[in-house]
Amino acid sequence: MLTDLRELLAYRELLITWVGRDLKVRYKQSLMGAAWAILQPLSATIIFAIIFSRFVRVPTGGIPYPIFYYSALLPWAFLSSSITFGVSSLVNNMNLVTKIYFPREILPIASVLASFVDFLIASLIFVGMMLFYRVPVGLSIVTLPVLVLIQIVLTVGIVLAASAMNVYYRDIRFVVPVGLQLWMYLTPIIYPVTLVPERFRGLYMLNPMAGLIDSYRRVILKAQWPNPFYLVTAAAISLLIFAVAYTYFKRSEALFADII
Amino acid sequence: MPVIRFENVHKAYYLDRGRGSLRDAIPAAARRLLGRRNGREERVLWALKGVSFTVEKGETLGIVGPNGAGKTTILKLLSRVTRPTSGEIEVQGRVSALIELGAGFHPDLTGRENIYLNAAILGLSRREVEERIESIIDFAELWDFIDVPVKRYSSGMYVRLGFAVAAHVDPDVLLVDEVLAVGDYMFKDKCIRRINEFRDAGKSMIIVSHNKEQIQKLCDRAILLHRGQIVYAGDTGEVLERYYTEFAGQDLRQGPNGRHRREQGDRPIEITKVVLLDGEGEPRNAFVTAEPMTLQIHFRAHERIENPVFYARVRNERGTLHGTTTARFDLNRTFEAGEEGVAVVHYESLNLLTGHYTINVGIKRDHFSPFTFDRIDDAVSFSVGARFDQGGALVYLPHRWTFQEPEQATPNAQHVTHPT
Repeated sequence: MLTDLRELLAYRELLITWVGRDLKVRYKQSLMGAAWAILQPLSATIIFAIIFSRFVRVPTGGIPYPIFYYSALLPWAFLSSSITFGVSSLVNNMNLVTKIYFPREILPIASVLASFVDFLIASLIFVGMMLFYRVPVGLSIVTLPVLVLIQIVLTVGIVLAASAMNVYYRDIRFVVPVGLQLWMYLTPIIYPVTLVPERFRGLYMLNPMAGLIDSYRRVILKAQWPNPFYLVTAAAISLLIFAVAYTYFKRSEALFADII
Repeated sequence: MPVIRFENVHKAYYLDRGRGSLRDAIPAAARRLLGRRNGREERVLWALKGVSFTVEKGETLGIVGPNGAGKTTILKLLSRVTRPTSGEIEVQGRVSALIELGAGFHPDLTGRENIYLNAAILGLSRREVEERIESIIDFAELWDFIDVPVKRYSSGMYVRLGFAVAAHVDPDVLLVDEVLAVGDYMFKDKCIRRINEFRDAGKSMIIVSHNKEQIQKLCDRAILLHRGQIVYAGDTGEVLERYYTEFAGQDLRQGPNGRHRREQGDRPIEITKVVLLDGEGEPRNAFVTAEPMTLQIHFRAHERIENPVFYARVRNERGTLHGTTTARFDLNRTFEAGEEGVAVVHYESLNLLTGHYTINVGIKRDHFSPFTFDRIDDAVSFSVGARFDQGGALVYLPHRWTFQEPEQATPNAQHVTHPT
């Protein structure tokens, strides 16, 4: 894997150029352009806030509903848009893959980075919301970059695996929205972690996004430090997923041009 | 120390893999797990079977052969797009392939944006692109259109841009695949000049082409590939000879596109070979507009045939462009059983413009009857290159321009239209 990573580093300029291209293409094709990155989690937040504050009461531990949801929806949107765009990144660029050599992982990774740019833009709105609700921020905020990094590792791993599988089984990209929905319910986005009974908590936390979302909330909304068990579990599993996915990707890469 | 080394390379394509759906994958995996056979043998296509060759530094190697011989597969293996099934491949230095121009071009991005993208894909760093961007735009001659989305480009502009970028990559090894078949003659000259510059700079090249002159002019050595194996290798001229004599009219049961031979046991009179020649009587399948061209239909009669009608139809993807038969020339002959002959069509001036064409030939009982003794659709194919920019036209009409005084011009004034 080390040689692969070194080769990827040699191609970093192509990666950056491709991220730029991805963003330009995404936005030239969509009506609202960059605004979409902000509107999508925002609108979901509004809906959830209304439903769960008026009709079904979900205990948020005193945190205002909008930020409760937005703080979780934002990282989730990053994950979900990365996977949704990334899963068909290889197949969509088959004319390139079959004609020119470059490390193929550049395509799915570029998808993730492009979605990351969206994430950063939408975070600015979030900062505005934080100021509006006067949410205090503690020292633990320094762990935020670490959380983001772990999430990037996890996301890249999943997108690598999904995009490679999509080359062999084209209907994977139909499975993706369903899978993401299910996963979202298994992650403490709409409800707080405290809603999960203690005896299932261990199993539940095997979901790396669960640990991450919980940590995001603790750090951002409650000025607390993340739960070390949850965080370490999330980090370890993310790293494992990445390693397995990358290996799988590089093994199947040799046949992409033959099959696409 | 050779720059390129191919040693006993085999390449197999497994036709049944990929493009599957999950719905099929799960039972298939379960079957494999349980040790049951899949029932059907997996289809394998051997694109290359034990190919070995080397290219020294500064050498240009030509690869020729009929379609499907494996030429493009060799280039794909050299550019690492795919991996060999067995055998060794070694390449020293940076490889650049003119296999598909405009790789990575996105229609919504402008020409300039696509230059950066394409160049990055071909391995240039951003700084290198900045240094060359003006030269690239000059080479492509697209100064006015460079900031327009590429989806508005004509196919010619697209190709010029793609080639301009590729021409500015500085590789050690250059792979060229039929790329010189596109574009008008002025552009082709530019491309050939650039390729010659590569040679003079001591770079190594592999050129795949159907064009005899190009291979002859550019290559030091050549190899002839057929069905995945090297059939002949050596001096360019000799290899080209072999290619044209063995394959130019051959594969009749297949034809260039492999179809539409009348599969009937007895053909009272049968076509044995179809050959295309140029004005000098040399076998050729690439011509220039308004050149002469000769079509030979070799045949053998198995019984006595009276006044059969031979036909030849020149076609492109739009349909038949020109059709002719021996009946039109009152060419009547009776052939005895066992007699052989050649029906020859001489086209004095090929008034076609750039494109790819095929010819359907056949022998009918007589001019009005639909009954055909033998026929081969797409018996031969050829390409035409125009000497000039054709501006979207379809044919060439021999003509010339002059200026005249009003008094000299024809006095039949009622046929003249005046601009209103």
